[in-house]
Amino acid sequence: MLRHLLLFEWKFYSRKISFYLILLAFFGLGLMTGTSAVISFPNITYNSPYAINFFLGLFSLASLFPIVLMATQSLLREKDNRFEQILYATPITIRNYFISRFSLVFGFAVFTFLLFLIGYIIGHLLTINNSEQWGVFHLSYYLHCFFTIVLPNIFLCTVIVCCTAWFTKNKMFVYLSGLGIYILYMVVSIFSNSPFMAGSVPVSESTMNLSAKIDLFGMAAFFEQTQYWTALQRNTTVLQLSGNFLWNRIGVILLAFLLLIAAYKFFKFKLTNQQKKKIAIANDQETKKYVYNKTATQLSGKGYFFSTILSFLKIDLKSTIKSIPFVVLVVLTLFMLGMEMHGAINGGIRLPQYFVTTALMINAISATLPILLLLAMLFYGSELVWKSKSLNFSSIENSISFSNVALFISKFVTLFFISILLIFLCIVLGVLFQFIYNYPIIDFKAYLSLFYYIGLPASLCGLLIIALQYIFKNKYIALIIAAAFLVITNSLLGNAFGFSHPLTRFANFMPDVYSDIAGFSYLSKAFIIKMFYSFSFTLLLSVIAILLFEKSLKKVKIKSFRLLLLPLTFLFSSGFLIFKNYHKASKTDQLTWQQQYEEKYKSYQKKPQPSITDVKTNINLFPQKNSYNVTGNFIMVNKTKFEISEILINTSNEIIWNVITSSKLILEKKDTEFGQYLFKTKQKMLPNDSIVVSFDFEYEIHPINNHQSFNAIVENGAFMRISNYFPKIGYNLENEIGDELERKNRKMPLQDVLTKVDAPLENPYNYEFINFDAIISTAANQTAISVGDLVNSYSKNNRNYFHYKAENIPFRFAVSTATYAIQKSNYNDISIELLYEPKHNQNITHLMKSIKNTMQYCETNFGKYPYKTIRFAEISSFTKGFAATAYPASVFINEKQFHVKLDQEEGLDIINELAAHELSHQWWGNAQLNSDYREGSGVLTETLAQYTKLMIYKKEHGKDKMMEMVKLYQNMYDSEKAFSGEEALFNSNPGNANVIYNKGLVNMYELYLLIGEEKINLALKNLLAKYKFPLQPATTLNLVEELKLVSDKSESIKIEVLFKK
Amino acid sequence: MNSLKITNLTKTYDNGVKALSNIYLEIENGMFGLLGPNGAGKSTLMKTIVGLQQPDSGGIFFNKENVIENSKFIKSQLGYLPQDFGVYPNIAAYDLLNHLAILKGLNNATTRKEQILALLEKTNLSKHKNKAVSTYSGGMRQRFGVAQALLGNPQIIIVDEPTAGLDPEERNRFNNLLSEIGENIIVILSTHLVEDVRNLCTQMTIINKGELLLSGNSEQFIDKLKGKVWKKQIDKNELVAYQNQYKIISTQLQAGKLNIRVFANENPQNVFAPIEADLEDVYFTTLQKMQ
Repeated sequence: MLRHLLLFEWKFYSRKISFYLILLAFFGLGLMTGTSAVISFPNITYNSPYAINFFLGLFSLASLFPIVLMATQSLLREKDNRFEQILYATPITIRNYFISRFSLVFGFAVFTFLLFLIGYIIGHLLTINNSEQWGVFHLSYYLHCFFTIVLPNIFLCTVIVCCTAWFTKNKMFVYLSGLGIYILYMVVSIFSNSPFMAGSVPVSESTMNLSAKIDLFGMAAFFEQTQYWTALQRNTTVLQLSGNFLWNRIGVILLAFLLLIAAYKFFKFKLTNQQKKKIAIANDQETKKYVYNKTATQLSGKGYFFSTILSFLKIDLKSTIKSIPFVVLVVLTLFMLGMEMHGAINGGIRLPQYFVTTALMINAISATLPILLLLAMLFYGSELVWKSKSLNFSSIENSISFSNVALFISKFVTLFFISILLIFLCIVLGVLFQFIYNYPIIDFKAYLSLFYYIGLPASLCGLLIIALQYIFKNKYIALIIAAAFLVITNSLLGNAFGFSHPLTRFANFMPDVYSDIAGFSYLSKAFIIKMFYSFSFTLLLSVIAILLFEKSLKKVKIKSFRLLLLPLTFLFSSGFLIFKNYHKASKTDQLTWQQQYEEKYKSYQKKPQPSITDVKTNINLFPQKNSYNVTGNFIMVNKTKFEISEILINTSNEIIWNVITSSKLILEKKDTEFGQYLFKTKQKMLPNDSIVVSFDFEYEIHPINNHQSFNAIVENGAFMRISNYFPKIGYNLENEIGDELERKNRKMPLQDVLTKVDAPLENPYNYEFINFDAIISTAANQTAISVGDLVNSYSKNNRNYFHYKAENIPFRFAVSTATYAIQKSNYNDISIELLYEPKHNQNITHLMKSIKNTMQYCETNFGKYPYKTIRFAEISSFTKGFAATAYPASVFINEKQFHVKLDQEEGLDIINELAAHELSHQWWGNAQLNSDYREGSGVLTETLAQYTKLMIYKKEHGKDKMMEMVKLYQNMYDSEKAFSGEEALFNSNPGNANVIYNKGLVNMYELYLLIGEEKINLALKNLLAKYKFPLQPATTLNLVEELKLVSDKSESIKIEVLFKK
Repeated sequence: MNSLKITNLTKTYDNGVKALSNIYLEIENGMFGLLGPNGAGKSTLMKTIVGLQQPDSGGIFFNKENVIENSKFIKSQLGYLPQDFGVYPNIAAYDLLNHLAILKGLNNATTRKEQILALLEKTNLSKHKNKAVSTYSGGMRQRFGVAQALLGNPQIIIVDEPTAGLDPEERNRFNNLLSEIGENIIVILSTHLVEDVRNLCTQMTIINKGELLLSGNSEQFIDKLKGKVWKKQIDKNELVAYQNQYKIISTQLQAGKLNIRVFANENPQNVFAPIEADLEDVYFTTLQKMQ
């Protein structure tokens, strides 16, 4: 009997094309995942148990797709085809029916996943090589993961979806149960610091512990178990069935069985009664008030066309919105969004709560809603098109001769309204959150823009889905094609698989980068072009769909193909515009460029070249135009002992170069590909000779290309580390490929090793410092901030001018411009200036106090502050890569770290941390303790800044709070050390942030316990006195030495251990 | 006077089933009965007239306009009640009628509303006009079907097996409704129930297996059978023997005994009793091609 039932099912499915399409899709997905290193973890091999667990665990979520599809097809088939009465009247037992149907869905899900797994393994076997990226192939790693993580996940998902199908007998509910599982998973991910989530932040141990227990997919438990594992462990050890992971797995299986048993117990062969509320038959004759008259009709004209659209819209909307599934969809969406908003407000343990600004809510909506909208579009898009037919109402409707175009448009408008409605509800939730969290400054204009930035792409996707339905005339095939198309062209997954050129992207939603200061900035311009391109494509498909209405291709008149001309013209012109303006090289091209640069110019590294000593420049910023231009000149001096006759000046390719010239130089060769200018001197440049070079360049963000994150000339809160774009002399080491494996693959020699900590240094050391003199102009309502002292400011021709000067600073300077509010104060004779977005005034007093405290601490313990002014300026979140960054006399803070809600009782005081850390860089780094780039040099800047911050934190908040901070950094260090490696401080790589920041802070705390604050500070003061500019720079060995000098001999070994282990 | 002319209409389905072969019909105003057993091709013929299906060959002319090429012409003057139809969930009868009325081109809101209300009254649904059609009982749903077919200005109404599944009372009520509307327009009633055709239609046709067997005035057909139908009560076991010997039109059980009706020009062997011929006899003799 059971065998017969299963055979019957096989006969049923083996005839369906969509069945094979799914199988093929899963195998292909596995192969793609296996061959392309989409996500890689540093130090972790591609075929390590860790990576395998990560990918298989992630993709076990994808099993929801076959499960849901199979459940709707297999469990609700009898109901759909009204076969229930007959089936239930046969002697088939509940047991057989139950087992056969359940095992079918489960078996299919497992089978599809196995295909994915096989694809994944084959992918690995195809690409495996002897490099360090690959470990030894062990089938057991895959199988272990499959049986411990994947299989229980699929089992539970199948049970939940099947139970929903049996109890509700409603397709939409089945879809929603799948969506529900997905949402539950996302919610747990948000709270468990899952690396799947963008911008994940460390969470507390108790949260981790709880998520490890309740995450139905076992991923939180996986991350919990492995969080402190070393790279070796992650590469060779499979997950241990113990602790939370064991309980989680047992819990999942138990839960699944309980649900299954309950479903079995309660399952009855009972007919679905859709017409519960059947009304009594009314046969009593009614009194007649109206007389039936035949009424003339008119089936043409605009009025008729539009009223047809409207009528379909009304009917579709009413029957959709009134349905329970839609209500459930809305509830799920709002639930997930609420969770995301809650997660966004709580910055994790590292950060306090954020102010619930409109920007924060907009970003939460942009991060959550698009995927849900896409799913809703996919579902309703295919449902609406076939609704009339599946309800068997089409025979009536189709006997009327209304316009097919109107029908098509009405379906689209219905989808449009559904997306508008969902967006509207999300906005309401956002506003509600703002009130609940007591930040009722509502930016309605920004909220409304979501209808455009989310609604438009969603509608285009909806239109595409409808068009595909009408073109393919088969609900499931069209659905699968639409889903595959959107995964490739709309999701991040497609991006990761190499579909990143804007021509291969379709209707991408505005990303969640709304800045409270700069809005979406230039991205809105890029959005228009991209949307027009996507729109042309959907328009093309729509016209094709309408042409093919009720006709086959052969019957379409040749003449009607002319209709395709307009959308094709749109498509090609917008596509051409994108193609022409898009200059971002692919990753491979970029690497090839770097390789060629190195091969061509490496020889100049050793050639004697002059040093830049003075930069005098005019920088004109045009934030509203997303552009700036720079003119100026620099003096270069031959500080070597040799004569120089050939000078290489290198420039950035990001910008447009108008002029680089000098009266004493002759341009020998201009290499535009690499931005290199090779000059010959007219006369040999003798030691201490100087030459003046003048230059002129400009930059404008081209919307399609995005900006480099330190070159964000946005409308407000712009920040540019503009020194990156100034001409430089000689070979540019930063252009080299740093990734060792990539070099190996390209058969390039190893990079020059990092200078050893104890390597000798030329004496006197050439700091390559410059004198900086810049006149910066910006828009009339903005203030421009740069480095050093402000010597003058004035307005001219409706622009503001600021003249900054600094002597002897590193060749590293920046500018920011914004409509700033300014708060001034002073510490002794040093003036303190805070420049911030007027709305972000909540922490100003506290910041001012923290700066003064830091100033006092540093001046007392380390030495004099070197400038007349210290200013802290807020910048927009369009600059990424740092929370705050210190330049001579100026510190720039990102709005994301600046505009936070400090709670004096709980959480860390991030404003104090930032102020202390960054301000102390005026001593550690910049123009004072500025070591050459070598092993351990990061310790002399970042670790010392971390130490200063810790001590000031102790002073402000007490020892308990300090302990909290130390513990936090210990945790962060432990959880990242597998990726970063466990280096000793004294010869650590300056690029190893985990070591120099996190381990550094912890070890400095140990040192504090060992010899005490006073002695450390004394040693640091001595270090500064002996090694600050213009003296010979220090190394970590000097630091250790100074520490030993001020402490007891007995402590020497322990001090050594702290730095050398 | 409306006219529907069907010439040499042929339709073969992809699986080889010949649904219509060489159908020729001329229909004018009045109720027209399309009679045939299940699977005779009635629904195919209806759907083809309505324009939901394309024939392989042949022509359909409504008021002289070729509607195979221009289905819009007939659709704009058509009321169609399909054999089996569903409705949108959660949509009230009034709203659904309003929707269909708009599709049919009733552009004036006032007259549209009046006509809908009148139709709801006519079909006795006024009281429930704001309830979802999906909650209606079978009879009410069929009446709703008639109401929607009458929307606008239909010159031809096609109803496909409308009384199937209705209880006798509902069926009567439904037929009364149909007979009211059949003046000055063409009403094609497709059914396998001889009784409905007898009650409602003057003109009729019988089709089976896609072929048109008989077409014309039902009274005349009955007249032709006058004196040629004979009945007898026999034992069930004797049936086979009788079948071999006589042309049996139909059999009917009555209290365990079998009443048979036989077609013959004279009383065969004088063991039968004469009986008045009726439309059912016409139907069965035609199907069995006895005449």
